[in-house]
Amino acid sequence: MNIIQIGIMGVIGALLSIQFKGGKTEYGIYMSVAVSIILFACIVDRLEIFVETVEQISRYISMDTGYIATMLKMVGITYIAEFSSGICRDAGYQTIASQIEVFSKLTILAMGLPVLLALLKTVQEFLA
Amino acid sequence: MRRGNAVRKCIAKPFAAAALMLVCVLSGLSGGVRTVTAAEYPEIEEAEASEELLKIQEQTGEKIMEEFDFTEIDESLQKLFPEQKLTFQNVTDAFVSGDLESAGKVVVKYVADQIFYEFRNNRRNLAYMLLIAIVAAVFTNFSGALKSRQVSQISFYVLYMLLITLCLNTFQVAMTGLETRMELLLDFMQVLCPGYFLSVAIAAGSGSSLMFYNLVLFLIYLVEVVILRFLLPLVNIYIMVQVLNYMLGEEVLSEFGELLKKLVLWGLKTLLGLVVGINVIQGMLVPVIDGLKRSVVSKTVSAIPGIGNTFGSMTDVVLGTAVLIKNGIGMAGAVIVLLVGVSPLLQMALLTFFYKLAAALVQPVSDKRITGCISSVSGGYELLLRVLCTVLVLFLLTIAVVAASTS
Repeated sequence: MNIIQIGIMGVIGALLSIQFKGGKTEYGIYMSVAVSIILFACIVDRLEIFVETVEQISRYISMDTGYIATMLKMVGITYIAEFSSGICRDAGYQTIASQIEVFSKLTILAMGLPVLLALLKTVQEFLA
Repeated sequence: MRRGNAVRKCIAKPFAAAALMLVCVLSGLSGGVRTVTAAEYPEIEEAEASEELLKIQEQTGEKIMEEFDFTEIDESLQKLFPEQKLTFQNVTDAFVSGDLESAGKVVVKYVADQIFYEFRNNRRNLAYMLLIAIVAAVFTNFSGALKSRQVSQISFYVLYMLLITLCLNTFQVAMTGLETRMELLLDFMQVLCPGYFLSVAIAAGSGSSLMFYNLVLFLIYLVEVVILRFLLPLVNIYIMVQVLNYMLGEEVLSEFGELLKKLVLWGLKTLLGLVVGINVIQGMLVPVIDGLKRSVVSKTVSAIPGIGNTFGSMTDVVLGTAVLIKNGIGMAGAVIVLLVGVSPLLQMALLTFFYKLAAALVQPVSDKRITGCISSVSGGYELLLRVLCTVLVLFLLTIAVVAASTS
């Protein structure tokens, strides 16, 4: 899929949802969710290229590559959180959207804690 | 304990050496008396006399050399250069006889091996650093596409952590290597001293020998306490502070880092100044006193009619040989100190260069915090290099001053 197809699909989706604005608003939201999911699938395609590249680079480093996997996970978590909270926001539920964001932030923080511990351990070993 | 023994040996040996010199001179005298009978053939006499002198020189050399016990030094050499069969006697002989070509070849090969070894060892680290910096740059740009800035920050910290783990581990390995090298160097100096100062006692007199011996013991103590126990840990803390400073991204600890660096540099300068000062002052005074005593004895003896002249020339030969052997031992010691120092010296220089190179290479693509971190580790290696240089200069300078002022 190239950017023109993606753009056309997005615009058509948005125009179609406008049609439902007058009467049944909920159909408009379903429409936008469906379009977003199709676009998400296209983005995953692109993401794969990026992930492969990073994995290829990290293969040259024979150090602990678990960290790079963690970082990729973090990117995924943030992306999903942004996607779902965006849909919630469109539907008009700000609270749910912000809860999703808070959850994602806390998850990332929790994933980052082992890194902090490892850092402290390095410092401690070095100064011991 | 060993040091105490060594001191006693050094004090006891001059007596043996004095007795030995007397034997040499007497054996020379019997030859000298015979030359008087050949007085009517002046040319033959001259040739014979110089031959005699050469023989005496050789005998004196052998006898003086017999007095030295190099087993401790050889043990220390075995520890320093496990792969080479190096004995101190061989090195000294090479210097006394002036045959330096083969020694030069060995030294050049050793240095070249060290350079290649370090290069091979550190090439991987250099590549890792570049890759980490590149991954960090890729991630920062990629996570910039997302609305949340959190990911880009955390992924930066993750990669920074990987980077400093790598840097600190290599630094620690280098530091431990340097410490063991320095300890071996101190060990070597401790076992070199008794032999060397015995030869100084034979060549110049016990006064200067004792004085310089005390000086070197003091120097060893100073290096052990000030450099090994104080300055090297300070360099460790300096690296840590610099690395953390760059991680925070703001100039929070930079002044503290500067302070530590200044402390190390001033400590080194003070140490150098102190040792040079003591060396020069002692070197001016004591050998002169010894020389005065000795010249009184030899002048008195050469004033004795008949045998006085012969005795004078014999004394000259014996003393000359003693000086030659003393300088041979000194040179051998200095060369071994240099050889011990040259591999960590090269290592530190190459590491300084590598890290600076890595910083230069990653600067265009990566965050300035990563560049700063790599560059500051390079600064740490430079500090280690300076510490090592100062230690080597202190020892070499002392040996040189002893050699120059007691000849």
